[in-house]
Formats: sequence, C-alpha cells, structure tokens
Amino acid sequence: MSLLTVSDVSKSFGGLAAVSHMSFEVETGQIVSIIGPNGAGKTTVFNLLTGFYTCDEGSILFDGEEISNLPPYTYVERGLTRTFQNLKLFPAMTVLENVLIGYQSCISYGRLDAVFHTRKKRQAEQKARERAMEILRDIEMDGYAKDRCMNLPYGVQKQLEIARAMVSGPKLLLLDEPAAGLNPQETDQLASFIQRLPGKGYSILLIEHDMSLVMNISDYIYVMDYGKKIAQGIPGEVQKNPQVIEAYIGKGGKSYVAGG
Amino acid sequence: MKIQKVKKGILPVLLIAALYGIPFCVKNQYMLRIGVYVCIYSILACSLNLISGVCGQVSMGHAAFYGIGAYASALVAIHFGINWVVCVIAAAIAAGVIGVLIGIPALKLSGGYLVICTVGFGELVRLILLNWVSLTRGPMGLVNIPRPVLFGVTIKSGSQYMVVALTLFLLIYLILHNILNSKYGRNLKAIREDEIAAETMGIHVHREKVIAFAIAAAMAGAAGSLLAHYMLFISPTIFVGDFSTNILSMVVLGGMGFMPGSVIAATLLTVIPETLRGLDKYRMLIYGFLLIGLMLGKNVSWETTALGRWGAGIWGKIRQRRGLKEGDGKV
Ligand SMILES: Nc1ncnc2c1ncn2[C@@H]1O[C@H](COP(=O)(O)OP(=O)(O)OP(=O)(O)O)[C@@H](O)[C@H]1O
Ligand SMILES: [Mg+2]
Repeated sequence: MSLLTVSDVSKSFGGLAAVSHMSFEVETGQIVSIIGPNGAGKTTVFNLLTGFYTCDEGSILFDGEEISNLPPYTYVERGLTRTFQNLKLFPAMTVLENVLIGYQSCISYGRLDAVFHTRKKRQAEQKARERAMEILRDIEMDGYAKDRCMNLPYGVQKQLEIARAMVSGPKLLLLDEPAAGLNPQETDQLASFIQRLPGKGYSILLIEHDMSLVMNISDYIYVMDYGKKIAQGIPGEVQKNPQVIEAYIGKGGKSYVAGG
Repeated sequence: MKIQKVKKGILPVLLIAALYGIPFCVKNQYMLRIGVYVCIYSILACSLNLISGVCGQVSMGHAAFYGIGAYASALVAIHFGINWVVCVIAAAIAAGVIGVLIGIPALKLSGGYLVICTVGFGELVRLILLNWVSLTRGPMGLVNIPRPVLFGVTIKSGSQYMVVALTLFLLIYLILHNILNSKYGRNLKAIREDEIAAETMGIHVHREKVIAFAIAAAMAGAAGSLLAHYMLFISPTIFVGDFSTNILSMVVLGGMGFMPGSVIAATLLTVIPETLRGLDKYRMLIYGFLLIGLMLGKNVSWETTALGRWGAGIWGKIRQRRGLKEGDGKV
C-alpha cells in the first residue's frame, strides 16, 4: 500500500477551482514531484495535505489512515511535515531554537516538569539539544547554531527550514519550491541532499519549478494545470508529453521542459 | 563541571540576598512602601510579558485580572476569615479561570482586534466592580480587609510586608523563568514569530495561547491579593484601563519577551514618578511615546529596544566573565 494516497480531492475558492479531482500517490522511499505553471494549484494541494485548507471533496490516506481536514498541528505526530514556499522560519529565534521547535512534538515532559525544572525536563531538553545539533551537523550548519536565523543568508535559511521539518523524523516530507532563490551551485547541493533523503527513511513530495532538478531526482512526476492533473509519469515520459509542453509554453512552442 | 554549577548559581543567590537585605536595612516606611509596590508591579509586568512579550498577544486588560484577584482575595478574607495563603490561591484561581473564559474567544483574534477586545474586557470588569454593589460595595470600595497572618505572625510593618511581597514576586519570577527555559516557553516564542509555522510544527497554537493567558491572569490575580491585604482598602478606581496601559508600558520599556527588563522597567516606572512627583503629569506623555514605540516595534525582539540592548550588553559581559555558554538559560 502507498504511503500517501490522494483520491479525487477538490478545493475551490469562490468560483475558482484551485484543485479539482486531483489524485496521486507517494510510495515509501520515493521522491515524487508535482510540477505545473504558476497558479496551477500545487501549494493548495500542500495546504490540503496539512490541514490548512479543508477539502471540498475527496480523501487523503496517509499510512492507511484518513487525514483530510484535521487540525494542522496534528500532522507532525503522524509523520507528515512541510516547508513553505515563502520561508516561514522563526526569525528572532536562534538556529538551534528553530530546530528545537521542529522537534518539540518529540520532547515529552509535562508543564509541571517545566515549572519545577525536574530532572526529567533537564534530561529531555539535553537529549533534544543533542538531536538538534546532530541534524545541524548533518547539513553542516552546526556553526550557525547560536545565530539568530534572521541574520543568515537566504540559502542557509532555506536549508534550515528543511532541517526543522526533518528533525522530528517524519515519514513524508513536503517541500514547496526548496530551490527557489538559490544559485546554481546551491541548487546542485540541494539536489544531492534531497536525493540522499530516501536512504535515511524519508519519503519526499516535492513542488519545484527548476526543471533540471525535478527531472534529475524525481522517481515520479505529476503535472498540474488550472487545478487539474494533466499528466503523470517518470521524468522521461513527462518531458516528452505534448500536453505538458503546451501547459508550460503554449501551443506550438518548443520544449523548455525537456531542455532541463 | 560542579564548580561551574556553583558559580552559575552564585549571582542569583547574591542578588536575592541583597533584595532580602532591603526590608531589614531600610527603616524608612515610605521607601518600604515603594518597595512593596515595586514587587507588585514587577509581578504584573512579568506576567503580562509572558503573554504579550513572549507570546506576542498584546493585552490591554491586565488590570482587570489584578482587580479580580484583589476583590476575590479581599472578599474571601472578609467573609470567611481564611488564612491569607488560601486567599492568594483563591485570587489566582479566580483570575486564572476568568482568564481561560475570556481567553478562549479573545485569543481567536489577533493584533488590533485582540487589543480592542481586551480593552473592552477591562472596562467590563471595572463596571461590574463598580455596579455590583451588593458584593463589591461599588464606588465605596472594600474596607477592613484583614492583614495577612503567617505562621502566627500578623504582617503589620512595612518591612514584614516587603518580605512577603518579595517572596511572592521571587516565586512567580522563578516559575516564569522555568517556563521560559522549557519547550513550553520556546513554543510561545515560536507562536509570536510565526503562528502558521508553529502550528505546522505540532503546536496547538490556540491552546498554548489560552494557557499562557490564564497563567498571566492568575499571576496578576496573586498580585491583586498582595495589594488588597497591604492597602487594606480597595476600590474600582485602582483597576482602570490607564493602569493596564501602565503595565504594558513597563513590558515595552523593559523589552518584549525579556523578563529582567520587565522588573527593571517596573522599578523605574514606580521609583521615577515618586522621585519626580512634580513631573507626574508627564507620565502619560511618556506612556504615549512608549506605545507608539510598541506599534513601530511590532515583531521586534527585546534586543532591539534601548533598554534591552543595554541589558543584553551587560548580560553578555557577565556571561563572558563567568565563561558560560551563550544561549543557555536565555529567555
Ligand atoms: N486562500 C486562497 N483564497 C483564494 N484563492 C486562493 C487561495 N489560495 C490559493 N488561491 C488561488 O488558487 C490558485 C492556485 O494557487 P496555488 O498557490 O496553489 O498555486 P501554485 O501552483 O502553488 O502556484 P506557484 O507556482 O505560483 O506557487 C491560484 O489562482 C490562487 O490565486
Ligand atoms: Mg505555490
């Protein structure tokens, strides 16, 4: 059974059908991408998957359980986390604190432990810090641990957001345009970083406009346009699909999708 | 390791010892009175800082919880003659419960809407205190509030009361300090920084806000009890909107989210008007400027406020001297 099964999900805002009858799957250990022109409804799909929008219809099965329309804070515990298209860090907090917030659902001690500063609390905090530092070392960001993240370069912030989403060890990681705003070198680093994630037990659902990145690392691709799925397949198939080319550059154009 | 632990504990211990030295060394009743007020206002400022500074939910109705605590404590003491410790707890619970009830709907709002809502709540409480004459004696206020009796000793003198007020303040400060240095405090900060991201990381944002609001309210209630059994007389005129603004000014001046700053600001805004009584009428002018600063400084952390930067500089130096890691124990 698939890790994530989205079937026939729709969402409209007033008269605008942002997502209509969208279906797709993510298997464990896969990197699956959703591509499509601006306004196609990709981010809306992420918002439906993480409870920020309610589905008008359809169902979302994650790990065998229905997860549509739950409160957004419940998804981490199920093993589903995400990043945002427009960076959403905690700017005035340190890098370490940002990662600790990502890990907070795994830090288990009660409010009274906090008030009385019990041994249980101190140990749990200590462990959490170690885990957070471990993940920062993993992405070679441990040197920044005590910096406020608003003072960091954009590329580093983007990386931090992924680290924050990863630290709780989710089964599925939703990445919304992680390469946006990165320079080619950073994009290459990101590509190889994402490629290593399935080996560490993370499955990936990726939204990305950088076609060479998508084509290089995806196991499977879904293409959306005007809220609808217009194509799907492995990268080689999608690249050649005339409908996809048309969606991106209009009828009769040459394939920049294929160009990579 | 052990030596460092001892070293780390030594500064607060010295500070606390010095504070307890005040009521024993100072004999001037007027100064002790200011000391008691500084303790009470510090509780108010620190508790408001939790919800408004740390968590970013600006409330302008904090005086209402102060009033609820004062009346609850006084009424329990007058009608049932129970020990003061029970009265403080009753005051905290009364204010905390009302904090939950008002917090659940109000904290669905954000920014300006929340501010207006809390202003309205403050006014509502004041009007109830003023008009529920059978319970509160309305504008005449409550009189003959019993003095606290602790361990068989009636707390009568200024220095005795200062010890009591200081102890309650330190207890509340310690609780706040521990909350801030836990994942719960960190989560509140995350809510201030970005609610959507906080929610995504598994934080039940609304619940955390309500709990923080209730804790702040309960602490303000305890401060109210402290006031009632010190003044021995309370009336609705104490718990007005202006006073809420006053508390918020302390939080802003001290730096949003920075607890020691709230204490320093509460001290300054209590002591300065006393020493400059002639300039008293300029106080509201100063508050006005501070509030403008608040609006301009929305989402700005305490380190960017003047006092905060100054405090951070000194704090950093102290830490350096003591060879501590930066970041641990930081608010
Ligand atoms: N909360 C909302 N209210 C109204 N309309 C919305 C809302 N969210 C999204 N939309 C609309 O839904 C459509 C799909 O938006 P979405 O953000 O999902 O696109 P996208 O595929 O992520 O585009 P991009 O590549 O530019 O990020 C757009 O027309 C957008 O204006
Ligand atoms: Mg988008």
